[in-house]
Amino acid sequence: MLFHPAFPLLVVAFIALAVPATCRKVISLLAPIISAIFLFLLDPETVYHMSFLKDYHLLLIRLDDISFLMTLVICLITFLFFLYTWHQTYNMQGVAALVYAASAIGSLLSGDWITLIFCWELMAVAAVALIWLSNRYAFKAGFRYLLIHFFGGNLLLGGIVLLIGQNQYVIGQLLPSQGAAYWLVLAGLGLSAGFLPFHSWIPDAYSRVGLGASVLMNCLTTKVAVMTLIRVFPGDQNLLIMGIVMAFWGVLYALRENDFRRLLCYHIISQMGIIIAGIGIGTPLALNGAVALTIGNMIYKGLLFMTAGAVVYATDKTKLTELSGLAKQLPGVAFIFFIAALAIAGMPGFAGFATKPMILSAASAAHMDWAELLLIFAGLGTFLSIPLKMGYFLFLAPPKEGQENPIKRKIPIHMYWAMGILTVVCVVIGLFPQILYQMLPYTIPYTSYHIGHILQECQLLVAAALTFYLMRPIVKPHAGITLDFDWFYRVPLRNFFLGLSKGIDKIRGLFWDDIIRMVKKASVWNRNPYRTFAGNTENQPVSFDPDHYRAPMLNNVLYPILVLMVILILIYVTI
Amino acid sequence: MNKKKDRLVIVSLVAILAILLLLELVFITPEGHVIWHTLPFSHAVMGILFSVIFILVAKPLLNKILMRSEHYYKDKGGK
Repeated sequence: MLFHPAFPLLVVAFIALAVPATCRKVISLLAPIISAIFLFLLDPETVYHMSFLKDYHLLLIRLDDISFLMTLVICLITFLFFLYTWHQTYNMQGVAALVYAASAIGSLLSGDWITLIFCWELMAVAAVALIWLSNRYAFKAGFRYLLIHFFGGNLLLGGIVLLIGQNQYVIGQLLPSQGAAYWLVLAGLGLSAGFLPFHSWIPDAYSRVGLGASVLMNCLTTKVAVMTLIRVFPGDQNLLIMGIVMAFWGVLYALRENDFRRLLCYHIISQMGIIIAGIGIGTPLALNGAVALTIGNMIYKGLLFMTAGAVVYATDKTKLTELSGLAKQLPGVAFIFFIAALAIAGMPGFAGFATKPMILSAASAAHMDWAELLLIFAGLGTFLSIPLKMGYFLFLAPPKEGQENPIKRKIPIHMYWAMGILTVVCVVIGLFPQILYQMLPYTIPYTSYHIGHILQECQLLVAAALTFYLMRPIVKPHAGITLDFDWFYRVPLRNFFLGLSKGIDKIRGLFWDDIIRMVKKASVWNRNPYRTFAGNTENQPVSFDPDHYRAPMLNNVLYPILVLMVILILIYVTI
Repeated sequence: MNKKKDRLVIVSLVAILAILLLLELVFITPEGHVIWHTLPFSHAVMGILFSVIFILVAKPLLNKILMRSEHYYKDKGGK
């Protein structure tokens, strides 16, 4: 018997709508475990198809190493999301989270374009629901997320329609020779992966969602997008250039950020950039590196979002200028933060050292020396922005003069449990990277643990730490925001539409009195057309006239018909 | 007290870096086809150089171009 791993999540999402809060939390916690069991029950290389239209079969499951590994980690993160948010009983965000995780798994396992686009759009809708349900003040950010992702989804759909027109139903590699389909699919997937200049939705939405929701969101949309890019555009040089630009852009903005949740969000863009550059390099080692770095990011970046969430939960503050010296008040959180931060920076002994160097080694082996140098450069920004900037100013810097104890509430034990489990995973991958390497798509002997590499990496990081410490008055956070590409649609585009709307309203105002007069005259006729055709109606009873107080019904029918006729005529004339 | 602590941190980092450089001379035989693989202490130099560039570009330079008040978007009528 074959079950789709997304199935338990969707079933529990429906059941959760109808059961009390405690029961909902318990079954939500169990759902990802059942999904993981279903995943293990699938045979390797499973392909499950379902008849859809004439000559078309939906490939609901096409299991390979990448989809297996990603689905497994999504199940883990979804489980930890429910453990982390166990104290929250006030809304239905869990239902949205289950559908979100299910659609992400559906996208990863899909083998054909139609299944992919269905799961893709469902993922966008569920993510928006999660944004709105996890934080009621994030309405506008959710709306911007919706606009961007529906735009991206439509680009992807356009590409898929063209691909199906070319009889390419199964998801596979695309080439520039396929014309518009190639570019539309690249843009659609890239938009969800955080391609510049459409990346601003990541800090905009992820920094505003609920504390647990940011952990889940970090691990789904962008990661599913890059995994799809691996399947469709391996070795594409456009991705190498885009990846390097993203890697720099993300860390530069992360270094500037004062809001530490936004700092982590900008850093996602940088890490996505390095992964996308790996896909662009395209050799088996680089693709292994891209998958390993994606898995690593889901784990240690998820852990960073958990620690950031724990700080916000305890203090109600998100600004580095408002907090400092938290290592004394929150030693457990500080300890976990530094494990995750050193992991993401690639410190030997931590998970990042097992994942990131694969892409650098692949660039070197492929003689893309400039790419290797730029990725080393951009990767150093990670160390500067997270362990050094965020770690120092949030946890280690001396408390500001007159600063009161910022701790307002105790962090619940289940949050520590969730962070603890992910910390163990992070450390185990760091110490025993072969566990991860065995699950990667290509079998290539690789180890980052050799004396030369360890010494060079340590030199790089210690030299950067020394420079940071000497230059920390310059890096010190300041209150303020940094303009990004979202400025274009938040200020000039908004003003353009407001101006357009006002202009149209002004024109309408000029003719409004005439329109009203015309409608009133027409209404007299519309109210009782019989009067016109039947001539004298004096003998009809006049004591009660219900039409006197209600809008003429014919208005509702006549005007749409007239408008439709005008549109049809215009279309006819145009075509 | 703070100056003492600062000095201790800096001296510790310099000492660790010096040990790492010494270990590189002892244990690593340079190999590769590009300068940052063959030149001794190249990663320490890159660590310092790249960090200085990052910090100067990210803070003083971009402050002048992109920094705005926290209420910038609210003042513009949005949120």
